[in-house]
Amino acid sequence: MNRFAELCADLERTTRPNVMRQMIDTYGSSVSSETAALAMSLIDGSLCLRILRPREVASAVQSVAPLPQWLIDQSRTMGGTLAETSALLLPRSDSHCEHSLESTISLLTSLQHSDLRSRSEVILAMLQVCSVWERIVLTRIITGSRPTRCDLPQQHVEAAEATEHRMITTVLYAHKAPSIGQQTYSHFTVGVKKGEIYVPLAKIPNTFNEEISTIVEGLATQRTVEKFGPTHWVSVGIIVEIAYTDIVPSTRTKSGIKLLGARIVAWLPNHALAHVDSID
Amino acid sequence: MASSGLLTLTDRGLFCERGNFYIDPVRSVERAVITHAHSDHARPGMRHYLAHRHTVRLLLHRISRSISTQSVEYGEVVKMNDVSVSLFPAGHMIGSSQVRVEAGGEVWVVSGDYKRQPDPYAAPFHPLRCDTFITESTFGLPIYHWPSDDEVVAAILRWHRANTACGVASAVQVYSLGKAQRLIGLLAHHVPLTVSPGIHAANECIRASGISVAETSILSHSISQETLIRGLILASGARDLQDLPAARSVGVDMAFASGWTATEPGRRRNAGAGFVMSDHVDWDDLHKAISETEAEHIVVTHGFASEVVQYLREQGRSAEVLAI
Ligand SMILES: [Zn+2]
Repeated sequence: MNRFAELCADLERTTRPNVMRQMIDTYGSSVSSETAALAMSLIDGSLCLRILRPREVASAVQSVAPLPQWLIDQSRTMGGTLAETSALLLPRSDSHCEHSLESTISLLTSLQHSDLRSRSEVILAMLQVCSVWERIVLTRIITGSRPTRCDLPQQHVEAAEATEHRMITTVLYAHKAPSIGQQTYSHFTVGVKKGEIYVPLAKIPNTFNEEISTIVEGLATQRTVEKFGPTHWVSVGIIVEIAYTDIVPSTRTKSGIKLLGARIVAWLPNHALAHVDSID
Repeated sequence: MASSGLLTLTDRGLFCERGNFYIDPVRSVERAVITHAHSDHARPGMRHYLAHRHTVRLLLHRISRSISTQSVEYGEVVKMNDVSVSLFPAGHMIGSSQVRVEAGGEVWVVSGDYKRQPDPYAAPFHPLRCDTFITESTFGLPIYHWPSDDEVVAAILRWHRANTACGVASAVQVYSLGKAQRLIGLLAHHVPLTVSPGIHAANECIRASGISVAETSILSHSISQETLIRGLILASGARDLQDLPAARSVGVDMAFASGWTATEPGRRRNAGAGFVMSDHVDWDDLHKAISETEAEHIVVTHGFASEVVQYLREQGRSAEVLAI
């Protein structure tokens, strides 16, 4: 498991497809072909396990790392997702996971049908003896995420995204979801700088994953300045990266342009307003 | 902070009225005691500087040859009026010191920046008993736990090897003072190192204090592509590489060695490879240091001060935030 966690960490340290392939090859030559195949199916997302929800990981961690709730919440503003913050909150361990990747995955698979208590207990016992990166990787796996955040060098992915452009924006409006479901806001209107002000650019579906969505929605609620029916005016400062396929002129928008094919790429919690793009 | 205390915060910085001196002042003062040579602690414009002798050398190099200085050894007591001032290792970087201030049977300790992990160039942090401990809290949240140096070195070398195999140069961006020498100490016998002129100048200054720093090549216009790709570059900024002809023809990957890369948002913000290495204490070491001082009162500065203070108070300790 240690070598696999190292590979996952290594892959996040580069954006170059050839360097990623080199890292995967180096890993592949140090393990059996079965292990390498298993590793790849986890990395490319084709093997996905869901053993615990992020909040179940969090409460398991809290049982051994008793910290006040406010401190956990505060840590989360710096630690990222709930699952990952929980992994980081565990007391320091100087040991490494001694199980192979295969035995770890087969143990996890066998847990899928156990009750919550035994799943939590086994996972917690595993996490406690892991190093920090093993914890991060293991937490991602058991919550159904890919174990590494790298963009894999896949031909078809590159082709599909080649025509996209990126932009850094700030949320201007949050739009209430029509019915009570998982989401509070179904769409966000994002904007960029034009002179001294921020102008709306596009209304984009809220496609953040469950975890990020919870944080961003919480922030949007906190920062709501005024409500116009289902549209909440949010003070600038929630920074979001978006992608779009084209820009066309528009007389109906304050910005004078309209984005086509706009989608949310990422929430950028550590970016400031200064990073937001301008259309001047 | 209690006004009857040995140290009070003024607009010029932390002040000891009884001894008439400031610690790491932010504006010009008569007499400054300096914890370490980083520019956010050692500023120009003081009439007189007192610091550990290694720090003094760096100050003369960084600020000016003509400043008035007094060098002391760790543990040496200097009297300022009826106040006894002494410096003890803080483990943060070469010459870094905690300041121990004693008068009328009362002891205050100012940590300065500090860490408890080993550093080939910094004398190990020395816990001191005191009544009031003024501590930094740069990484004062329980999500910060530093990995061992061995782990970090192994990760840097794996990254470097993969880059080299693909013809890409690898550069780690670090402070030229402190982190750069720590990495040189850890990496020099694994991989040929090339450093930026700023780091080279800092190395020369440290060598002049009689401390050996491993020899490295210097980043210059004549550097070959081969050297760039095969070796590991330590640079103080991306600018160090921008104008080099060899760096323009091969790709250069920039990495950061910083405690901020311990979390995913931190890694994303830095957009580049991140290696978790800090010269500040992590959560566990911060609380270990606090408890070893046996201090009755803890004053917390820099970083997550209000979080650390609230946590200490909930643990039944007397603590307050000091916004330096
Ligand atoms: Zn410092």
